[in-house]
Amino acid sequence: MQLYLPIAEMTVNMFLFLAMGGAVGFLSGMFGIGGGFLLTPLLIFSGISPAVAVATVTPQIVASSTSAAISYWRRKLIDEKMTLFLLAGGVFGSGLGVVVFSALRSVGQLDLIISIAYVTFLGLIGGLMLKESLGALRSVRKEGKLRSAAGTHHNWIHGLPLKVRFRRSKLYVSLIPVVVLGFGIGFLGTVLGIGVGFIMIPALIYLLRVPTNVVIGTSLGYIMVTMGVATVLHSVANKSVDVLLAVLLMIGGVIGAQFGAQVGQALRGEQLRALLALLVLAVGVRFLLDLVLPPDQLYSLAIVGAP
Amino acid sequence: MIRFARILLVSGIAFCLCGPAAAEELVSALSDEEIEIRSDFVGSRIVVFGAITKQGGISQDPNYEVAVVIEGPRSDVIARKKDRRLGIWLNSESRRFYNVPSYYSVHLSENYSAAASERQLQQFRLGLHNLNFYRSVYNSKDIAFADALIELRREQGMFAELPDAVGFLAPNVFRTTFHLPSVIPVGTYRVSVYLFRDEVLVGAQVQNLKIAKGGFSDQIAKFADSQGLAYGLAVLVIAIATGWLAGVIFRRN
Repeated sequence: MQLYLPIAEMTVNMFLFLAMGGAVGFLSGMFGIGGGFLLTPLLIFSGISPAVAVATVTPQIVASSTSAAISYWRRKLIDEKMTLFLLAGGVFGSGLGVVVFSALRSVGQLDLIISIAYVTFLGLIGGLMLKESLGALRSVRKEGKLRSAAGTHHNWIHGLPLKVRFRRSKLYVSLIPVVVLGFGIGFLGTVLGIGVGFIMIPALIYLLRVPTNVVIGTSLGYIMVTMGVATVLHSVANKSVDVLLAVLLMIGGVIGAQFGAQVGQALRGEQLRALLALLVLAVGVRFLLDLVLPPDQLYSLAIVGAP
Repeated sequence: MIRFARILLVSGIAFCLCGPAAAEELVSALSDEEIEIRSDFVGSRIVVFGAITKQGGISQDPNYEVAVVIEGPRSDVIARKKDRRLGIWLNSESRRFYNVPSYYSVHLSENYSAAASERQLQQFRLGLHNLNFYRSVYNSKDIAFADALIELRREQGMFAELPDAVGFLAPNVFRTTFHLPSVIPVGTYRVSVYLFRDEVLVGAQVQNLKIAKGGFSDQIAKFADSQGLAYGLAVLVIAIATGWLAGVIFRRN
């Protein structure tokens, strides 16, 4: 069935985008990620302009993180205080992100920056996750049990001033790294249209030593709010959020996530992480190829200021 | 609408047959004067009809030539070219072209003798390579950008040039059909009909064609455009509600 998207200004096959949302939802249910890093490139690949794709993925991430955050909230696995401090930085990060996004779009280098950032972050995170999960798989085979992911040693971050106590995370750390982390992730999430859970989670575990069970809930709460802010800011500044496209992606995503979660529960944690690492790396490699291989079409057009 | 156009057309012919016209009279009509882009829009078809009348009747072999142009609203376009720098392909050089039509399609009649008419086409700015933005560039590098612009728009179905597309139903009645793609931008379009006899322009007519978002699409687009904040908040509420609903359903399972 064909549907005209009023903001993207094109007619699309509804089922294609429901299926796309479903496929990404399946993976996000399976791996516990937002899936923005998969969905944004998929949308761009299917002809949606990068600006609309990036902006429209933000409400889809709000929907998927809300549904998961609710269950973490019930089980008291969200550190609200830490979420608030992360958000304090995140709101400014998102604000700067929207400004930079608009500026890059007008200079014509938005696609380039998005591609380079994807290659960098996906390559880095994918590589680290693959290394960690392969190590875990090997040690499971050898010793039959899992090493703990994070050490208990204090690092340089714990020497910073302005310390605050986070009860639920059982932490006493400086505000500075928390706010800076929130700022950086808010900025990246807005510019790249990704929920950045896959950057947030390792950062909270390895840098701040937040207990793993609280990390996912805290990260979800943070993502929900920053992506919510990004949705509104993109609507105001760029007018590029397509509500019909967002609804198609949400419906597909919610249904897909249900099946994904079932498959995910049948697999072991380190197997899941290895698969996710491969997926992340594959997307990164695809972006890398786009950057280094000669493009099919050397020229591109941008319309400026209608009279 | 088509029937309406036919009535218009027929009455036009009738009027001209009685009228005191000295030379050729050109009458043309569109199958639609307004196209609404609704939620199920998959592109549209627009038919342009025309009739030629002349006092004392037209000769047996009149050698008429017709060009019909549909032109969309103009805007400036920046064409960018990718170049390899430090091993990666990135946008480097760009050119700005002024007043480029968002849509431009010209249909010529089948008896349009290309060689002799080239001068006329240039004179009346008919054809993609006769548009002002193209004729304002001279050096070969700029022309490469302008050529790329035309090529890209052609691929999108936004630019077209069809030499055999206006058919004569009778020596003095012609018709042509335009297919507008689903990505067509909204705005007021100009439909121009040019009539030539023996390489001389004998008549021309310009009409407006309005393309606008209609119904639900229109309401959403207007809402998003005029009240960005309220629109953003509404999208946010939908997202949270969908997520919350999903959370409830998940828990039941």
